[in-house]
Amino acid sequence: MDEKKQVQISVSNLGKVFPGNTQKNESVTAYKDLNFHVNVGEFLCILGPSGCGKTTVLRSIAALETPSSGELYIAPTPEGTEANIGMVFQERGIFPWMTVAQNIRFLLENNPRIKPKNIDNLVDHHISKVGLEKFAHYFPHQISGGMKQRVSIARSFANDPDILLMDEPFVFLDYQTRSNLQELLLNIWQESQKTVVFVTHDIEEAVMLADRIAVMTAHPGSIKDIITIDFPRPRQLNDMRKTSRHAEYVDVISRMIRNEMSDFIPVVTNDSRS
Amino acid sequence: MKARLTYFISPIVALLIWEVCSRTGILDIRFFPAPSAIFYHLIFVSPEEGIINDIIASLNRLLWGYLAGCLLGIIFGVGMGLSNTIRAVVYPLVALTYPIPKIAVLPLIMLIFGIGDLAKMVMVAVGCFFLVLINTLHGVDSIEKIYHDVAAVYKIKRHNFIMKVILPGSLPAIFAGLKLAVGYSLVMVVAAEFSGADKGIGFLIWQSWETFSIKSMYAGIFVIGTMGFIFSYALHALERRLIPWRPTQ
Repeated sequence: MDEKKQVQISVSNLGKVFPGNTQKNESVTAYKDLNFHVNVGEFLCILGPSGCGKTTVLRSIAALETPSSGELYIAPTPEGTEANIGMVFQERGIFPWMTVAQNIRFLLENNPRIKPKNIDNLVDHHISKVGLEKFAHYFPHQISGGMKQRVSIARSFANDPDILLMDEPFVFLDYQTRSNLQELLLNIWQESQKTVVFVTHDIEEAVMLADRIAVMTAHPGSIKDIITIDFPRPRQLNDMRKTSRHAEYVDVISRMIRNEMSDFIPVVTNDSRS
Repeated sequence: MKARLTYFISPIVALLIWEVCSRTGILDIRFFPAPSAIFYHLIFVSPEEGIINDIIASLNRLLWGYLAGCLLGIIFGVGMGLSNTIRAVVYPLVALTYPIPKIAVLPLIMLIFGIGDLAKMVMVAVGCFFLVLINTLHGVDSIEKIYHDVAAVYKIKRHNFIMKVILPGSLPAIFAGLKLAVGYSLVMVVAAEFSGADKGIGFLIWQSWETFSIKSMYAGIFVIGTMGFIFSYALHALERRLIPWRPTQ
């Protein structure tokens, strides 16, 4: 079997219901009937409006939430051990009491896969990869939001994950910083060929980064469609942004989401007046 | 530096007014001897009277009581913060005993631990324990959920999680407790030495009052106040050293 086609994550009929609080007893369905898979080395984006449960899907893969139904399969490593998962959070994921270098080092020290003698090199290597050499001994409060996300990315790649989960990592950054980090992320990913699941609500971001996009809709969260982004790699994001193909993808997906949204525009009928 | 110097102005002015009032007879020098007379007494007479031994005795009780109480407070606070079982067992006990004024249990502690040094250390420790415990627990509870998530995803080992995430994360709150405990430990040691002691600053103050050695009494008050000032300052310096990641206000 071609290595590209090996399945890394497989999700079938997956559902998650949060039990409601005891007073109202209304349970909330975060997502339901999810079916998708992620191949080894693939970059999959989960795209959807806020509140569609996409972050909960990601947290379920990370084992931070337990699905209520269905099956979630994560392929073991070739050595037969449990797959190593890394995660980049929206913000504040790095520890404020550790310097940039310490933040990266701390995870490596707790990773049985990493040999202690390699840690120094790995830390230096990944700090320079994200261009933070001068800030290695700075504390998070001394650097910008974009730099913090660089640390988060460096930390997760340095940890040598089989799967990298990213939960809207660029959502709080300004446009320019976001573009730079998207480019940086693609470069690092291109080199490392990790499997990435990237959650975002930004259509353009999804189109530029992904091999495939799982488009989610809300109430309850479910996958509407999975779209393959047929764009050659490595991608030059600035050039890609100008192509008509890119615009088409963005257009198709935004129409898909808009149609879905219109279902929820309330229609005033006699019944609803009561 | 200049700003710091301005802090000395108002105390010096207050002392000067006191000095003038005592010398001119506005204040009764039997009750309010002039500051100069008190300092003269402190430097030339008190050592003859054995104030050094009193200081050493009080410091000894303060130090060990403070360390024991704070350490136990941190351990129990972290334990309660991390384990629901420990919380379920300890919290009700703390909630029930915390409101009791610690001075009120002094006789009980003397009953159990006698009237020696140990009883005084226990008094200090009891006072520090609750303050540090409650602040530590608050600190552990207020560590943001995301750090628990990061630790879970990256499979951080338990002892590393406690030592490198929970402890540093709650350190600002722990220090708030440690600072409160400094003031409280001084109260406790003086109170404990008022009764059933044969040395210590509290003993000195009480005995001076009983024998109407007012200048010795003032010397004792001055010494205990200075101790509090030095402890607070040292703790403040330690805090700045241990929490370099805290944005400066």
